[in-house]
Amino acid sequence: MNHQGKRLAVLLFLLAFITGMLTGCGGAAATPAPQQEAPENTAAAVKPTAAEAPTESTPKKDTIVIANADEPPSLSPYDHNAIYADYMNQLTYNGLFRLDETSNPVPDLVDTYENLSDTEWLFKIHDGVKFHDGSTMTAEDVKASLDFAKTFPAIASYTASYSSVEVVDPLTVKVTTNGPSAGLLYDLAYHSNYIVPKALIDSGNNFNENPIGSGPYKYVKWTLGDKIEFVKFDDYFDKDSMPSITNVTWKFIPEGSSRSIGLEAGEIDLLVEVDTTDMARLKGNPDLVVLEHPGFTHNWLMLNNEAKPFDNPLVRKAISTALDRESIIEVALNGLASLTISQTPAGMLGESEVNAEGYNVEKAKQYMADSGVDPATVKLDIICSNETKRRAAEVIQANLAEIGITNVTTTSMDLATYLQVTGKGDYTGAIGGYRAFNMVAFLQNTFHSSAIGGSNKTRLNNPEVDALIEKAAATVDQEERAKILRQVTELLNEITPQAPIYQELYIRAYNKDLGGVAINSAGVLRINKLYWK
Amino acid sequence: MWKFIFKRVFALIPVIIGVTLIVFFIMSLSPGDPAKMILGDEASPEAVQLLRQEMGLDDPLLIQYSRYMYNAIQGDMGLSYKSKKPVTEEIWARFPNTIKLTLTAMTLAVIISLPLGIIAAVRQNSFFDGFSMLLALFGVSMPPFWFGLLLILFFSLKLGWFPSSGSESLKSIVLPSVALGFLHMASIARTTRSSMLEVIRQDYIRTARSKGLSYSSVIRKHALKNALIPTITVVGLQVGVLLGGAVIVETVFAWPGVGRLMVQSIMGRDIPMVMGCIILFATGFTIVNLIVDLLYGFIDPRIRSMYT
Repeated sequence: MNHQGKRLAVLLFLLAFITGMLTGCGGAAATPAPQQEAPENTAAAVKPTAAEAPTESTPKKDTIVIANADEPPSLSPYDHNAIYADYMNQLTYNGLFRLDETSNPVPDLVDTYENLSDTEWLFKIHDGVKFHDGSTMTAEDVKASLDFAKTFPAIASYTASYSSVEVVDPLTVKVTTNGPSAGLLYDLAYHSNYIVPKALIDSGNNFNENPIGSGPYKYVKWTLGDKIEFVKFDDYFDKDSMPSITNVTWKFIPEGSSRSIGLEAGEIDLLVEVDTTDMARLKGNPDLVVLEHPGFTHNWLMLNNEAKPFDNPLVRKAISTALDRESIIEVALNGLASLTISQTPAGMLGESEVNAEGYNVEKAKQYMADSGVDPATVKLDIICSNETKRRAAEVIQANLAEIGITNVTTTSMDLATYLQVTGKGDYTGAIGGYRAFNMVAFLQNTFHSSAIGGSNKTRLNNPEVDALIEKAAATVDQEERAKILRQVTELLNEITPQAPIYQELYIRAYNKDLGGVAINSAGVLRINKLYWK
Repeated sequence: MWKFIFKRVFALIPVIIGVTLIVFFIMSLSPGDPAKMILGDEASPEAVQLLRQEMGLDDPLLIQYSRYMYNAIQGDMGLSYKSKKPVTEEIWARFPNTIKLTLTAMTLAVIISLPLGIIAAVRQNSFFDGFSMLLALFGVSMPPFWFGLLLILFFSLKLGWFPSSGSESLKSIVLPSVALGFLHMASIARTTRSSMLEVIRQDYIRTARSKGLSYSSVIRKHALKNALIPTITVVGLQVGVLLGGAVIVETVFAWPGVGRLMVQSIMGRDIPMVMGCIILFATGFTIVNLIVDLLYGFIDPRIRSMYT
């Protein structure tokens, strides 16, 4: 009897312990909800925090802590293609051009420029631009940097547009392109063409360890696996964009929930990558602001156009119209993506939805019937390289079953294997995506036959498409180029090399006391424009 | 004794060769091309091929392996494919963090679980016994990932006592080591309890008691040492495993340790980095095992006599 009593006591104690812990956490997560429903209470509830804020934030007024998931592979601008490494590059370097809020190239280091002919450009840089090592930038540095950039295979597609750089006078360079090039200014805004001191290139400086540029911030210290610190560069050339916050600490926190909690706890001021599962909670927090913007990363169900029966455009059209994109976005991304039916990204010059079709099961069945292929014989294996893609593929399985394609399997692979298998064309289907800053680059890398084996993974080999892309790339006049790009998009929508699904959102979540946070489709983040209110 | 130590250290050589050989071949033969990972999606097949040649990835595997080992013996573990920094530099930047976390977590686990296990055994079937073993069960069954997030929610967000990530201050180590320590505490407490129970039922304990010695001095002086051998084995094994990286806890708390580095390197097919980590882990594991064996000798004279 006594023994049983003790057991009961132990059990009760443990239950109380577990309940206590769980309610403790439940409370934390649930707090914002009632505040949302009762605005009057919100003001009352927020006030004390706001009153405490000045004392708490006073010491950090000159510092901002930013966090994202991945540590950059390199601080050199030349040997990587990672957007999260570009965030660091934007702090320490400048390019001749940069992308503005609407993702169009605007002069950065360049003061004035002139288009001498179809293939020749004259760029005059600002006078007196200082590098972090104290030296002053000249046309020699520009030439040396662009020539140096051309030696790196990782960024080859962003250095291919120009063939030679000549020094005209101490502040002017002449850039000659490989034929007329519409993409040159975009390329010059990309991190692969940032400008560094010639003397350091000549002395074999390791720009990963010693990232000397002319950017608004200077590199201070890299604690491997943890964070990178930067400090304001007092001699920054662009006085209008002089940083307001002195210190930048960039932390790498791989786990999404840990990042969000860090922001809520006030340890982090700005998140550049937010887990979609935390969005509702962060949006409900009155001390935080969440910004979202459709990015240029276009995601699709890729189909190998060389594999039977996906070489038949009608089969591809049937698959594309069978996809219930809204459900896919809901299930895979908690609704946080913008739906797309066009073969090219929305927001880019030359976008169009002509010939593109959305979810329509009846039409999909009709396409399938017209193709002459029995849906029961179609075998599709969808490669997924992460959990989001796997969830998307599961919805696609259900969608395709509705038009009779029941033999759909999924294969999970890590990124390295996925890249190799899809690059070789050794697959039938996969969920993939591509990010480019401008339409010409997007089309060249995704649909031009010269990119087969690289990033043209559908292996589309269509001379008409190739010719139009080449024509657009050589058309410097923007309006004329837009017309050609729309033509390519509409042709691609007709061919349907793959089934477009969604464009990722760029999400920034930050402390409400932080001002100047902007977002654009290319993911550019100008830290020097941020300030504490 | 020295002969024993020397023999064990010498035995490290075939272990390292075996481990590196297996890892090198598995990494090289598994799909996923390091050159493609470096150059990215857009690179043309020609550019990938050129880089493969430059990196020596086209040579026969045995030649690649021999070249790697020849350099490694001279202390050159190569450059990371991803960061282009020396592997040794990257590992040494993180290894102190791994050691710090391992030692703090294990110390915490041992300090709490040892008395817990002993008292639970001595007071078998008591309230305390039931409570501590249920707590241990709780510790073993809880996924460290979930428990870590729970700790962050409660102690960082709600109470604001400890930072949720990073490694800069002394405070930063508290939550990750509690998350890790709790997991290991459970198995140490359970092992200590069962081996203690076994020992206190032995005849010599009864003899000691019948000589009139007090219960506590019998437990302290006669039972404890004998009951500790399985516990030391468990602790030793766990330290070895932890040196190999507490990947999940490191990820949740953004702790810059070697475990996370290795997982990222495997994903990125960064073969030199993976090899460096593996050599470090294999050496660490072997050394910890050697220390455990030596500790047996200190505790049990019969084992000590076997060394000589």
